[in-house]
Amino acid sequence: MKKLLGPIGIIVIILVVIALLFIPKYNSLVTAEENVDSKWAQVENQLQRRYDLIPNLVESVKGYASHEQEVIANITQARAQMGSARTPEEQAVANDALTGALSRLLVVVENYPNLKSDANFRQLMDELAGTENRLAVAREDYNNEVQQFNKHVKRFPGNLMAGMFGFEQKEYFKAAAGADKAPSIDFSQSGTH
Amino acid sequence: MKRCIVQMIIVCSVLLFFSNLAKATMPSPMKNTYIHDFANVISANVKEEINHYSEQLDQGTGAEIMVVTIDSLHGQEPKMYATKLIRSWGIGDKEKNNGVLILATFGQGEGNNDVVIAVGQGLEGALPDGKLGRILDNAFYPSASTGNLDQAFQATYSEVFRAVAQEYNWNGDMPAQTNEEEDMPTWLIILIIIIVLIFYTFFSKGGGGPRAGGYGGYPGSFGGGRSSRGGFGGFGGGSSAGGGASRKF
Repeated sequence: MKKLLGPIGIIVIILVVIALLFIPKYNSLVTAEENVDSKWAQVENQLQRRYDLIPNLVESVKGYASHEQEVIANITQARAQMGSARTPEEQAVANDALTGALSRLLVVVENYPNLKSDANFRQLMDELAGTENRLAVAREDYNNEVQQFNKHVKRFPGNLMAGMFGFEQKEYFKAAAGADKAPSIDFSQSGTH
Repeated sequence: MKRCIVQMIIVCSVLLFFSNLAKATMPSPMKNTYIHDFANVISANVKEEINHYSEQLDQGTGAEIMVVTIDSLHGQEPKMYATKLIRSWGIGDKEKNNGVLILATFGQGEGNNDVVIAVGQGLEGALPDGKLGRILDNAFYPSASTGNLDQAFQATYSEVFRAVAQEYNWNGDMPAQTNEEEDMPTWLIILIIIIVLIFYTFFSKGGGGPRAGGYGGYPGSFGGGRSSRGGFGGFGGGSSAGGGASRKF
């Protein structure tokens, strides 16, 4: 009896130690994943908001600059691409394409003072620029959480847990170089004053 | 070996230099004030007014309206910079995230200076980006472009303040409206009165100079002279999701 209790006791102690070591680690992995997901939801909110603003913008541009077909088509196309993107990587690429198309629009807008001083257009551009900034903020928050999560997944003993329970490293939401600069429009010359 | 050490010292000092530089671009908040005029462009009585009203509003609603002027953003995107400032200073209530930051630069050269109003999530409904842009166009730009910075900050602050007070149904002491849109008609009315007086004196007496004298201050200017010091000793810990609008001036 005593002989049997020895090995069993040791096994029990080892199991308890493993549990004590691993349960908090597992919980912190779950928490970290939740954080990543909630920050990702913020990014998606802003992407959606941007997506929703574009049709109004295109309409008001058409009112003043209807023959700028190419620019308008580019924006519409980039928006469609954004609508069909699913993974963070695809969305980041589509988002960059839209940013590019919008900055080309801003160059064109310089030639249309009436459009530039249109109250509706100015408001839309403010909303859009604000959304760009929110997106940049949300992206940074998301990437920080991903970094935390990936640290958990890579380090011991998290890496064992991650393998066992199927936690995989998360993708960063990367912006192309220069795309983190929100397109800005210089209103100072053509104000309504 | 010696070269290795020298190289390491160079690398370390470069790193130190850059980390100091990064710190230097984000100023630290002072206690007991809602206005940080680092660029030194706002007059003392306007500062006092803004402090007074912000403190009242903070005590009444927990919302914090902060005015900051600095020399330069060192090339950083204005709205992002303002968002980071709200976050690092913790402007606004921690739960409500109802801070507002009115930030302007004055050392980037005329036409290249940035002005930005940034808000926490809690006030995005009362101060959406489109409205903030309009406030900058109508209240800030007209005065700032003619160099009347006190007026620019008063008018901008007043618009922001009223929107926040309305959001919380707070009806305490309000800063006077100094909006250009409202000043113009008053100005015109005074002009018309002067013209009428001139005509009157000419036609009733057949000569003589106009008797209309100068007219006093702006109809809605800040009173000045009120002083207040309360128990405000730091910010509420509010955050921002990045809402706001900016302009060059």
